[in-house]
Amino acid sequence: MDVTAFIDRELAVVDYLFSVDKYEEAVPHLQNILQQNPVHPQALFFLALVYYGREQFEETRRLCVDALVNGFDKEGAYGVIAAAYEKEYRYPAAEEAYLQGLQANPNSAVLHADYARLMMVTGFWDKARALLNKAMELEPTNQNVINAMIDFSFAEMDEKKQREAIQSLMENGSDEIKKIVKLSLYHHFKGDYKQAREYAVQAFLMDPANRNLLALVEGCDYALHPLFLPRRLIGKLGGGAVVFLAIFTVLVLLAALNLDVILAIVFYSFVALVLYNWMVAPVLYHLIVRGKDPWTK
Amino acid sequence: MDKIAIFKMMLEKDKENYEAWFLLAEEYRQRDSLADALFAYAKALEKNDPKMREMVIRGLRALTEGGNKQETAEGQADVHGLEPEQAVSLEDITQGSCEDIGAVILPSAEMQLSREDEGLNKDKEESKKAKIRVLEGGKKHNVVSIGDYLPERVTFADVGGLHELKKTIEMKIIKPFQSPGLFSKFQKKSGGGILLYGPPGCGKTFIAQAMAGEVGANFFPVHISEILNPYFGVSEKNLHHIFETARASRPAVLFFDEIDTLGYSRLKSGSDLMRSLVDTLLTEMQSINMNTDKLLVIGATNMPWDVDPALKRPGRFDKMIFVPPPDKEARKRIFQLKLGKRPVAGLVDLEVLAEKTVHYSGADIENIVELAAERVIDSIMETGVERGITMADLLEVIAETKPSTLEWISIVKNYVKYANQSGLYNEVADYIRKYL
Ligand SMILES: Nc1ncnc2c1ncn2[C@@H]1O[C@H](COP(=O)(O)OP(=O)(O)OP(=O)(O)O)[C@@H](O)[C@H]1O
Ligand SMILES: [Mg+2]
Repeated sequence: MDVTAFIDRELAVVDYLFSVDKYEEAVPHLQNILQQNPVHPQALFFLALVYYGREQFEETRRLCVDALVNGFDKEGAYGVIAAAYEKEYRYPAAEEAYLQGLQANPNSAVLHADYARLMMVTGFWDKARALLNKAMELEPTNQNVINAMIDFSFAEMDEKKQREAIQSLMENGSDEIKKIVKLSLYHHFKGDYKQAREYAVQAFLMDPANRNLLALVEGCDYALHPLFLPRRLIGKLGGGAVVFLAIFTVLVLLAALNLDVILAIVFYSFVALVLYNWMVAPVLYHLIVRGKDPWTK
Repeated sequence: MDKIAIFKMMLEKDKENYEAWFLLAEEYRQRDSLADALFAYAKALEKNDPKMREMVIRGLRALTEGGNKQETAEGQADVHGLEPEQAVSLEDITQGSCEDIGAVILPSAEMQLSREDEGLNKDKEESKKAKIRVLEGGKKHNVVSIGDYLPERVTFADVGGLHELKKTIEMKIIKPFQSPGLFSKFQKKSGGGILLYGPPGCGKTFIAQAMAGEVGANFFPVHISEILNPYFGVSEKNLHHIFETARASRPAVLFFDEIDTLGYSRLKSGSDLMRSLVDTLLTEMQSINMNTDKLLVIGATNMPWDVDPALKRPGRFDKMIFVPPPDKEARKRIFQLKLGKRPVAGLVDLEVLAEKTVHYSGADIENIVELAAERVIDSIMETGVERGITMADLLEVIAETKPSTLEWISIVKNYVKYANQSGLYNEVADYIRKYL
């Protein structure tokens, strides 16, 4: 039997399985390929991705290096090596991998974008911004670049940038679920929990086995629960800081006017409100929701 | 009966039947199917048994010698051109009249095939004459073969318990399949595929086989490795050909196990190949005429939410049937089946075993028996006293394991909680209400 033909066919199967998110199912086919050719670079790289999914990052990197040694594309391999380090919070090593990847491939938008995200996470904002700008220049419609843009806009709490980034995702992204999730997050951020929940539910129904999506829906349910009505009101009034300042001003005023009784009432109500919002309500919520449904454990 | 099919069946029942792996390897070797033989030998080696090792090494040695032979034979074919009996025309292949559809087409030939296909309209006569070189053997990694027939018929008698499910299948599927005339008289559509869904390891594949047995049809399991091909457009053609072949041997049941792979939701993947395969599948399914085709399409999946919505619409997989975790009677039967093949000591009370394994899947029960056997082997090695599996062994293992179906059920429970407007998972909701 012709080995090359066999490998090509198995590779087609693996390719397909990856495209439908069935990574574990691809493993026997990868093993078939590696049995014929233990240094098949593409197969080694695919296997690295499987291990990445299993959260076995050491093995991921080892396989990426194997793939590299056997001639696999540096952009892909170094990107995954870096990501594997990031997952283990080994940021300097991750940076090193990005730099090596960029050295081999100075015009990689993906590596620039992912590197920018690393810099953002580690607090090097200026560097992050410069890298992201470069990535945008290289390939503004690339999925990784857009994702980095979105994360950036969220971290900077810049609503206008968020809107732009989301818009770009809608136009260029291919993963429907990811799009909807970002829309949900965007509305959540704006305080429009109802809309956020609608998107979150939509995403969850497309992939109900995904615990993160369930958590997203539950997060919206949490924010929308009647127990948190006072908290939402405070949000509408401009947030905790504004309300606190306002109350504080009132207290000072009352003290100046020597209205001690009213001052005491306002003060204790305020303390009670704070306690309710941030201690009583969450505890009650968990008692009620968990009590009702032991399945959401 | 094809030996390979028999060994595969044995292995499907028990992946750790190393003797079967070895025999399968031997069979592949004799058919010069190098890669398959290697794979099966490697599996047999996992037994970690010196005797097996020796046998495998012997087999491998024979394999390398045989392999050389094959290579030279191939070389000769290149030099001397094609032997008449080795050559098959393109027409033979596309019309499915090629006798050995399990043959392996070489890549060069295959490229030729796709190229010739492109040129088919331009120069029909030329391409008709095009000869394709075919190597014998290699039942698995072929272009046009579809799954092996089952060596034995499985019927509903083999499926324990689950009376309600069996009745549903009887009414909704088997009767319409056997007497489509009655349905057409009343203008009732009897076509469309069936989608079996439910938690993993609860007998979907098994029940699909039994269904084929019940309707007395040929059973064609379809694996994606038989469809996918690196050359543009060939995968779709393979899929089409599978339907054609099934039609040619009607009555037939085409079985797409793990249909969420081939029919993955197009919302969730950007793969062009996947999209066009789903399109092909849709077209093929809609072109089935139940009255004349006698072709039943069954799909099975653990993840019905991953199946493309278009595939669940009328005329496609429009009958969704929930295969629940085995009920008590089914669990008894599964214990009986799985223990039947092994030495058992003393009284084993199936009733008690079934009672203690609520929510356990068929695969879970298989695993319990497996673990109990391991325990016994350990104890024999320790004490040197030979004995069979006892009730106590089984109960201890049950105490240490957990049912695997609850995770799946909790997913559906959440799904139903947030949306079940379409009533898609009503059956599961009923099950949850009844048993949980
Ligand atoms: N009702 C039953 N009667 C007899 N055997 C059963 C029954 N249900 C399950 N089994 C046994 O359980 C084993 C697992 O079943 P099967 O492989 O068909 O499950 P499945 O639902 O197809 O699993 P998966 O989702 O993992 O493909 C089978 O080998 C079968 O023997
Ligand atoms: Mg199955």
